[in-house]
Formats: sequence, C-alpha cells, structure tokens
Amino acid sequence: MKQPKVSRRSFLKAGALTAGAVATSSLPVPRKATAAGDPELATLLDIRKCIACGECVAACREVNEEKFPEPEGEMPVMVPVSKVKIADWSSEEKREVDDRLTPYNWLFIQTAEGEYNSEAFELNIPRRCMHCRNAPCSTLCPFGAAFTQPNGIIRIHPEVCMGGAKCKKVCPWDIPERQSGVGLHLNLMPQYAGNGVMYKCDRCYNRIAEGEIPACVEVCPEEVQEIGPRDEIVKKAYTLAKEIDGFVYGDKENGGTNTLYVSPVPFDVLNRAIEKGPGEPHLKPVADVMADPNKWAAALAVTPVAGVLGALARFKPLAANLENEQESNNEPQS
Amino acid sequence: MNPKANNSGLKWLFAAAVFAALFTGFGNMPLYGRYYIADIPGFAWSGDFIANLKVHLVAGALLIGLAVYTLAGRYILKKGQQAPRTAFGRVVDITLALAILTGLIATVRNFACMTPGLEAQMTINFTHMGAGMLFAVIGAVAFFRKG
Repeated sequence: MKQPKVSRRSFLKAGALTAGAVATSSLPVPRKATAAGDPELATLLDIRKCIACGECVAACREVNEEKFPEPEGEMPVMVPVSKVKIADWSSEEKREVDDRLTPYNWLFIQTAEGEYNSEAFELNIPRRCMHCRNAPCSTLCPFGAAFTQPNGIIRIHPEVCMGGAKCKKVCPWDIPERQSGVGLHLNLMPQYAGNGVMYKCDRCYNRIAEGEIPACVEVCPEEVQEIGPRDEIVKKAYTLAKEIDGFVYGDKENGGTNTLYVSPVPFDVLNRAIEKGPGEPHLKPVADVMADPNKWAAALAVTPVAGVLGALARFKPLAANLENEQESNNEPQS
Repeated sequence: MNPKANNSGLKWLFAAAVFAALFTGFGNMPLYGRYYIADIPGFAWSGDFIANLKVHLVAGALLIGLAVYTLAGRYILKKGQQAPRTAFGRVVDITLALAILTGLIATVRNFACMTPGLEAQMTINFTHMGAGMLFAVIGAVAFFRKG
C-alpha cells in the first residue's frame, strides 16, 4: 500500500482516526493478549529457543508492508546540508536489508557467540523496540507523534511525525529509523524543518486490536516469544530465569520495558559478543532516562509554596500600610 | 498590582524565567543542533534534549512560583489597593496560565507514566506550544508598547 499523501485536512483527521484505532486497541483480546483490569501488554523472549530461522523477521515485513514509507519523486535538499543528512532506504536493494533495523525492517536477529563458565554458547536474540513503560520517545516527542497506547504499545504516527529524530536521540537503544522524503514536513517547510518520518515496531497494534497477536509471536516455530498481561509475563520471566539459573533483561532497563528477554548467559557477556552499531542496538544496563528530569520536576512542587510564603511576607504588611494610609487620608484636615 | 508592590528583582527573575522557558521550549524541537545554536560556545547543552528539558522544568517552576506569588498578592490586597488590570493584560495572563497549566499536565503525565493516547497527547503538546508562542508574541507587543 502506498503511503497516504498528507494534506492539512488529513493531518487534522489523523487525530480523530487514530483515536478510534487507539480506542479499539483496548477491546478484549483472546488467548495471550489483554486481560481485564491489566491492559498493559508485555512480551517474553526465551532466547535459548531462537534458531535464527528468520520467520519472525519475514512475517513482520509481510504484515507491516502496508505501513512502509513510499517516497515519491526527488529527495528534498535539506538546509543546512552539512547538518541534515538524507536517510533513504527506499531502493529495492536497501529495502531487502534484514540484518539491522531500518524503516523497512522493524525486527532483526542478533547472534552472540562466546564462552561463559568455560562453556561455549551461541544465542540468537530477536531485536526490536522494547516498548518502554515511560518511553522517552513518547513523552518527549514535541508534536505527540510518538505516543503510548493504553495497552503499553509505543507507536509513531506517520502522518504527524516530522522526522526530526528526537525519539531516536532520547531512546537508550537508538531504535527508530528515519526515511526521508515522506511525511507531513513535505507540506510545510520541507527544506528547513523535519526530515521524513521515523519508523519502528508498533507491536502489530492493528492485529492486537482485532484480537490477534503480533505476527512475529504467531509465526515462530520454536515459540520463542509469548505476549500477555505484563504482571503475568514478568512473573513467568523470573520463574524461567530461576529454573535455568539465568538472567532477565528489560524488566528494570530504562525504568521498565514491556519486552523481557530471558537468557542462560548474563547480558553483559552477550552485549560484548553481539555486533553493535547503527540499527544494531546494545544489551547494556540502561538507567531510567526520565528519572533525572522527573527529579528536577520536584521543583514544580516547591515554588508554589515559596510563592505563597513570599506573598504573605510581602503583601500582608503592604495591605496594612495601604489601609492605614487610606484611613489617614480620609481623616478630616484640622 | 499596586505600584508600591513592584519589585525590580522579581521582574528580572520573571523576565529570565520567561526567556529560559521560551528558549528551551523551542529547544524541545530538534532545531538547535540543526541550526548551529548548540555549536555556540556555552550552548552545547541546548542540543541535549534531557539537559534542555531540565532547564525548561526549572524555568517553568519559577514561572509557577511567580504566578502563585502574584495571585496570592491579588488575593491579599483589597480591590481598592490594586491597579485595574487592562484587557490586554488579561490576555497575557490567560496565555501564560494556559502554557503553565498544559506544561504541568505534561509533567504529571511524564512523572506518572500516564498513557493518554495520541489525541490527548497531541492536544496537550500543541496547546502548550501554541500558548507559549502566543505568550511570546503578545508579551513582546506589551513590552514594546510600554517601551
């Protein structure tokens, strides 16, 4: 499907349409999806089971193809050229890239080989957006294009996104990928503000809204992934980790995410073993990006109190003085 | 407010908070890295979105404190003791109040990991941005009218 052309009217419609989609996303979903009272969804990935067959990657590309960007015509010449690089993945050859994250490949498999406790290991790790619980991409997007659904899915709306890549800069894993030459900014000031649209895994929100599960979960022949209410998934992850004397990644990272990996090998060992770089995220421990700004937000609770105390100290005596002055002015002159 | 309540220190603090809030507000959009502002010596922080947000929060906190101070002052002083507020002044008040309120809502949302969805998030963001920009424009008009 071609990317719909964005007009001012369709931009205004986008909010209403998406609100509808968001509303339907919280409909009851059978099997492993939402449970009543706990609509937040999480996935569990038992990476011991992954054989890197690539079925999940292929299924992701197939079901999400209709959401992929379709740039038309020449790429705009960005201003300033030295600062704003065009990111074009739309050629046939580049669209086929499936060994990293791109605007056309929202899931890929990393491989980690090495030795742990004197035993050799080879583990495969499906990687995509972690769907953080307090996602900085969603909270800090200046336009609200990156947003969090009530069921915890983080999405980027292609008709609202300006492609400024702030979401990528604040993401601890640099997940979103840009495609230039598409999106709303082309209808505004294409050369001077924005640069395409950012793309990433949307956890097949539309399938979930229809009672299905994400394509990558459904097609996996080894049942590596499982999706369900977060509290159940977290419990399962730790139970499994205990059983295999293993490790969990994603529960505490960035203050908590809705993607939990369980591995028999510590994640710092895996992180050293995987290839990292553009489109290839790390597996390091991640502090909560929003924790620090939220601490600073405490100032918002202090200053109103200071304002009231300052006003009492300043205006109470002033009011009394003014009243006295008024009274003495009103007294008849002798 | 009564002319006797004027405090030039607080006026400067207000001006500094407004400037910092507007500067960092624009910096919440990916502009300063792109347009060399972050390359100016001493301004590298403006291209760091988290540092930018922290300064924005401090500026917002100062504005809230000063707004509460002013409102409490109006409450304490009797009607006859206050200079009448002009219609233009009221518009300035409303836009600033709207910017402060939507900023507060956004902060609570971030703090409490709330998930308002696309429509609510866009409404909060665009009202905050619009009110801030409107305040900047009419605040500048007010400044030059006085000057």
